[in-house]
Amino acid sequence: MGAKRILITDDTAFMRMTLRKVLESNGYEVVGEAEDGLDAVEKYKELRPDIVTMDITMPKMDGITAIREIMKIDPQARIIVCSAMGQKPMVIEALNAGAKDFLVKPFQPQRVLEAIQKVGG
Amino acid sequence: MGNIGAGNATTALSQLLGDRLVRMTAPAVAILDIPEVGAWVGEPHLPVVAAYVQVTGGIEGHAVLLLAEASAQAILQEMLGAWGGDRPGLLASGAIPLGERTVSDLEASALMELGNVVITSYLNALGELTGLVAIPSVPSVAADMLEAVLNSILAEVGWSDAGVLAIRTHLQGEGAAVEGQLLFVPAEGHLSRLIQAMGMVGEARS
Repeated sequence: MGAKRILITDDTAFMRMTLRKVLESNGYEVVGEAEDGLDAVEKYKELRPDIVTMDITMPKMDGITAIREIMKIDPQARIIVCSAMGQKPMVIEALNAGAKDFLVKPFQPQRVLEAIQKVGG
Repeated sequence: MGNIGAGNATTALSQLLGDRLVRMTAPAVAILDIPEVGAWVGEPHLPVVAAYVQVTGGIEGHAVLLLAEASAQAILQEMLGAWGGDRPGLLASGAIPLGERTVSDLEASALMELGNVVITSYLNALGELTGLVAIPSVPSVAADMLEAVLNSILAEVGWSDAGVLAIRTHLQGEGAAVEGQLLFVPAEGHLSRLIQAMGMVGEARS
């Protein structure tokens, strides 16, 4: 089985680069980067990644809406939220929408790798 | 209330700075007329970098992270240090001046991320305490003199004549020149809502 293909979603280039660096240096393949929820939905259709990391607070389309849209396209989608928004109602909403895990920023790189392994990376 | 929120924000800032200690002062609360806000926050001509977030949901208001220019420089160095000389995407955006130069797109996005993480951590604590949800907007980042930055934010807010209630906390990093402030201005009527919600949480727990 080849390296897991991952789509990174975050509106800041800084965070996308940070996640890319952590993932690639641990043997994962980053197949794409999305800048907002809408971009993530489009890139999911196009790239069919194994795993998606998803920010919540983003322009154009927020992460929760994007999770719902992606789950409509592929009910088997594996999405991990990486967001500063750690309020319980928001976490529950994301998990109900179909997210498999929820990491609250700022997080240690190790936590991202653990979450990815847990969802089947 | 402001205390625990700022505590959370301080922890987040500390983690972004590679676990360096960040101290905070007890929050100060004041009701001010608009022209007074600048002087209450600090020296009007101090060059600062600010991240502004509009808050909606169960708690509405406006949150600002203000960093002295030198602090913003130090924090950027810490956040982007890992990239060394090989920083992809270093294109001068020209939009945000910082000292003698303008920040790169990557630096601007690091400042946005910093504002997002620190302010949202503050809101997470407020949400936890009150049982209300506080949803942050995407942050906007600006660099200018303190007075100018505040004025442009105040123009967004649109106060009534009754003045504005503001909660202020100083953040101070150990050793390095990290110095900033968190400002939260609840929307009209939302302070009493905050207090009421916390009272109800208190009763439910007793």
